Amino acid sequence: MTLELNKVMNQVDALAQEAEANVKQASRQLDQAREWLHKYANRFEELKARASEVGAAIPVDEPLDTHHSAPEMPERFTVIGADGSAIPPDRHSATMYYLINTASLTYRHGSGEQPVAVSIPTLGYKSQDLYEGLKLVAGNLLDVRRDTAEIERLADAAEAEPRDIPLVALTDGTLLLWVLEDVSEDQRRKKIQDYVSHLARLRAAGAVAGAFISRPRYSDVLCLVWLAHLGKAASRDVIDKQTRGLADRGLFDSDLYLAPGERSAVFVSPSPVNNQYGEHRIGFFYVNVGNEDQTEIARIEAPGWVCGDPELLNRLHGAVMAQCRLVTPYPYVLARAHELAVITTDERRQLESFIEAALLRHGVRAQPSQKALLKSLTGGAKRAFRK
Amino acid sequence: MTDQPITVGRVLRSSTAGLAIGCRVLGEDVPEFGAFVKVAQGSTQITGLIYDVQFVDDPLVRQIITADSMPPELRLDQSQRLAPIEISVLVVGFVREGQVYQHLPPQPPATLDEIMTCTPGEVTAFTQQSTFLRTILNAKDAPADELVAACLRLAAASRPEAERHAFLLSAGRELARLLSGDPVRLEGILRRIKPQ
Repeated sequence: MTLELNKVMNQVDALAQEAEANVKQASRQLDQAREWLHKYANRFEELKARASEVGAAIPVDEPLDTHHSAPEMPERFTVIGADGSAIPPDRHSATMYYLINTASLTYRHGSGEQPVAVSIPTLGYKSQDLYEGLKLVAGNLLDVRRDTAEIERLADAAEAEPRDIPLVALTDGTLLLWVLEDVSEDQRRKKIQDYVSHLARLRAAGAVAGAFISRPRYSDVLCLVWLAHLGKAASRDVIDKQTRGLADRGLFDSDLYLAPGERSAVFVSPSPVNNQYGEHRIGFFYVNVGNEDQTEIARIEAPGWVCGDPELLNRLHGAVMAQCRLVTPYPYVLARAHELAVITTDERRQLESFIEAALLRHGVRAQPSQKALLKSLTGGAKRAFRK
Repeated sequence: MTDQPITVGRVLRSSTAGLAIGCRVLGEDVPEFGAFVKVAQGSTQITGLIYDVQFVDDPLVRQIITADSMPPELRLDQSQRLAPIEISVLVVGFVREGQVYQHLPPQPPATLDEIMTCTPGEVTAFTQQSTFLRTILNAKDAPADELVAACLRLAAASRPEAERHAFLLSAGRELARLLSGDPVRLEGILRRIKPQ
């Protein structure tokens, strides 16, 4: 069967009505939150300990409602963006393997040089690649490998740059390996150490490390605001109930708050995994990367050694803005790194056929499962002929 | 035309009569309209002519065009982006075990197969016969008259200078035979291949 759109139309309309009501309600709540943010702005010191306990954004030593305009950048500076994508192991395919494709673009502002594009595909096929203990490397485990490969690519690219030009290294998404929350303590520590070692390499290479999160869904700062307001009565459950469906970006996404190019105060991420990052403990700020016509709030994460150094923080803020002003309000290096890393359905099919051919050359007769075969016959173009 | 074959790109789509290639900007003369290209298909080497070079519509380029300024780094980056160019090739024959066949090959090349430019020696060998001219003149999608003229000029250039005039003369005669019912079209092509 296919989706009968006529049967879902009534529900679509109800969905839109519900959304309208939610938007109005959220707007009222966010106005209130913004008011509180200003009201409690100077209580950052006393909120630190409580924020940690409750899991709200942890303030650093500046008023909560601070905003900074984008700093001037030097004529010459370099921004590197890295991204990765993966093909997970598929038990329906001819043989078990995964593929991680990482890519980076090095963009040297003011140099007049062609940016350096690199992409590196790596196939995992040995049993020690494919399994961690008894677990198949798929889902979260593969995500962590991809994220680590991504930051490694970033560090490799950063190490290739000269030290006398200011350097910023950006990755897409978060710097926090939050998906590790359901693996054993030992495994988690090892994976974090591995990941963090590349942050240390970036630092040693003189790069400012950062992560760009587009349309962030976090509500850490809202939690902090509610915590400040509720005082002793605050608990995670109470706060969650009152902030459900709201995101921090709504707080900053207002004509009254962050002007184009401006960033918020810096906070420390309350994610439990952050406690294992040591000197790289991840902080974040929000920035309006849009322009006069269009507000676009992004979340930028950075390790502690960047957040604690005003010069490095300014370099990160300025570089993100310079990149977001090149084409669209999204860092150009990340758009291109994504383009270089992404694996299309066609490419995936082609790789699968290369692998089948190579298996045959080695005398291994491998066929996709009957399910995969049947899906390829019933899906896709054939459906276009349905009445 | 260089003596060494140059990789033009890889097959995107193919049929026995034609193929589309994806590639990046290569050099001043590659890809060139009317150029002879080859692609291996098992023991067969399929020969074709480039008849269309198209910059594929690209959403990122659209965005860049509307941006306020274009720093040189941004412009230079576009030329290294993957597959911004699509080339169409008309298949005109194939070579098997050293023998030239000027009719369509039994099978098209597979996607992602590599397309190379033909060397002057290969062009000379392929154009010893002129049956392929009919294939070009009957092509529906290609600008046939321009393509005939361009490939004949290139085929002449692949020969020693002393042989070029005789080659063009014989090709002209074959065209006159094929286009005996359409003198206006014939004249247009002959003008384009007339030695200077």
